[in-house]
Amino acid sequence: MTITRRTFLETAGATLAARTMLRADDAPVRVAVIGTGGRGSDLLRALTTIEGVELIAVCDDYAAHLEQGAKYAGPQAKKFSDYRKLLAELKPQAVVIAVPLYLHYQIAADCLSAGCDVFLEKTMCYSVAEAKKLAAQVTTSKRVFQVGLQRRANAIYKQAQAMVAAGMIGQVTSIKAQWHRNNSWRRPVPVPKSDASWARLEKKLNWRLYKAYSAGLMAELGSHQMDVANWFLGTHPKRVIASGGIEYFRDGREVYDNISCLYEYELKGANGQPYTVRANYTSICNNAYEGAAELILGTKGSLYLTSAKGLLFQEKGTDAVSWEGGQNAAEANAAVVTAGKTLKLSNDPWAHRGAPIEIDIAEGNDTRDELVSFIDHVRRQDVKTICDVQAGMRDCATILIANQSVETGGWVEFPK
Amino acid sequence: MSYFEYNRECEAMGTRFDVWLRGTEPEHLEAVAVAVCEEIVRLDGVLSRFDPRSEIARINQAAKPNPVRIDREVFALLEHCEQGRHLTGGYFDVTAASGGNGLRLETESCTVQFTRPNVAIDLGALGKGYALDCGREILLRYGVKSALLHGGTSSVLALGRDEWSVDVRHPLMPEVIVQHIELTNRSLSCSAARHPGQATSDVVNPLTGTAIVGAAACVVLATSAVEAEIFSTALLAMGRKNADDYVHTLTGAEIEVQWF
Repeated sequence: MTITRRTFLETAGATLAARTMLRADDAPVRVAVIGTGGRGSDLLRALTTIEGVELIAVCDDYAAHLEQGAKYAGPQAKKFSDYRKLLAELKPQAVVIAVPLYLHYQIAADCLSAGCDVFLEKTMCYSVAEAKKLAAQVTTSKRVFQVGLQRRANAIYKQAQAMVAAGMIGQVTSIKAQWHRNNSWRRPVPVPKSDASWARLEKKLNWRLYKAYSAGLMAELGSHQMDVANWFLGTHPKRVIASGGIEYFRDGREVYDNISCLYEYELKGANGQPYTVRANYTSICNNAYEGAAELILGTKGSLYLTSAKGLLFQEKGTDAVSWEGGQNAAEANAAVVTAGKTLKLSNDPWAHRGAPIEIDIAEGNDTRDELVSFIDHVRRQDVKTICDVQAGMRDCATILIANQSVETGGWVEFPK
Repeated sequence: MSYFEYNRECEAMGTRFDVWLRGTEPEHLEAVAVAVCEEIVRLDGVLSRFDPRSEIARINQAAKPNPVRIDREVFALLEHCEQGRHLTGGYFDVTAASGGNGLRLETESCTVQFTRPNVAIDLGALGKGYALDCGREILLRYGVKSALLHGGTSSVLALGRDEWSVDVRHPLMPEVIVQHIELTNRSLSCSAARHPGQATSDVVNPLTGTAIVGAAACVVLATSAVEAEIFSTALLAMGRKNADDYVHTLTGAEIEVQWF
């Protein structure tokens, strides 16, 4: 198969085309943001830059975050500390929800019941049971629903997915992904430990560290990357075995400060023969050497992916990736791939990898782009969002079974 | 009560930032230092003109010829830049490299428009100063009483009553320390005209469009890091003599200037 720049752009640019169709007489979409902490503020700020969005309200039950959100939103946005009041009073057309994980289900369900289209930050739900209930409600309500897994809106990942689907790295045999960093993953609390309100504020601001509110590293980080595995392989894992613990940050937290997972995906080859793809996922908090990236390993090549850069390494001794022929082939592909930095083959320990071909199409901010796409789907009342409730549920179950495996100490099957 | 000092560094805006915090709870100091570093990295992602994902890159692409809706934080920063441009008679201008006076800001709609084709915003060192000022907001919010924030080799912010020692090296003779400054609750910015081995400056006088001559560097101490950046950039472009005259006419801005 010959892959041209044009076919790439058509695949990767499908949502781009749709979003340019805002007409002058289109009424603005009335949007409210529920949860204006760190992530909520990112989403809110992106919304303020999108044409055709009227940001009517912000909501947070923590005053400092609400004030910050109101500042970013502008004077036209009303402030609420209770989302139920917001829904009853303003009846927004769409809501963007970025609250602690344990609240995802209830708030999203209430918003759907109020007739809103919903953008729900990842991970979709705190439990598989909640995810199933929410999926059923989305389906019957026929509301537009999108989960905030922004790699789905990232040009590099869209292109890489198209490359995998087109067979450019051959048969995918293994996936290796990690989010490694070196910090305590702890948010500062504005009062000293001796203060009477410290314990309450600690739980409020550092909810990610406590099991009653959070599913830890897998939900906050792993969900993005295991979604890439699910998306690229076109299915969910069959089972997982994982190990994790609190080894370094023994500061009262309840979620693991490091976790290692081995997932098995069951796939069928072109000849109908089943085969297993294994995906290794790790997240650690005291070494940043490997950073955050996914590596998709295939029989003909490897894709190294981050939100800002994508690299294709071709395997030696296999058929070279087929590009459009003719003397202008390089030119035809120039806007999509450019040669990376030349490696010194003589003494570089990574020389066997060869020089990478770069996916060179970083075109915008993926957080903004996922919202542009969501708003576009709301305007057109198109329920086929870039990360619908089924994808969200699949991702949610994928990461939760890893935590379950750590606790039970054995393989855990993907829930039916 | 024990007193701790906590240091953390991060890379952003093409350089290295250092965060030095003093306090009584090391765990708290670490969390605050991480928050400051995350803020600096976040701002790099918003303000960098090289990163296609940034708000400034989006504005540079979209603000011609139509007004574009922009993020309120960036709008407020651009308003501040425009005030700096007026205050310095055009010597500080984030559109200097593309001809100057290139922005039209509309507060009501929170939009920016370029006044002609080929204008582009380049915040230059201002981004570093703004990052330090935002870092100070975080320090105050979380009760840190003594800190030094440092961006690259040209922007420094001290918070609290402690004196922090800052050595200023000569831009053309890095082994020579030309100034030793005890910085207390103030910001410092150093703008250099040239680097070792460089014959002419790549700093351009925005009013004449020609490379500046004269002093090698200008150090400005000011209340905020953004102010320090605006004045060190503008004064260096004015040249020492004009700058001395200009500083005497300044009211309302408490700045201290050193030349070498």
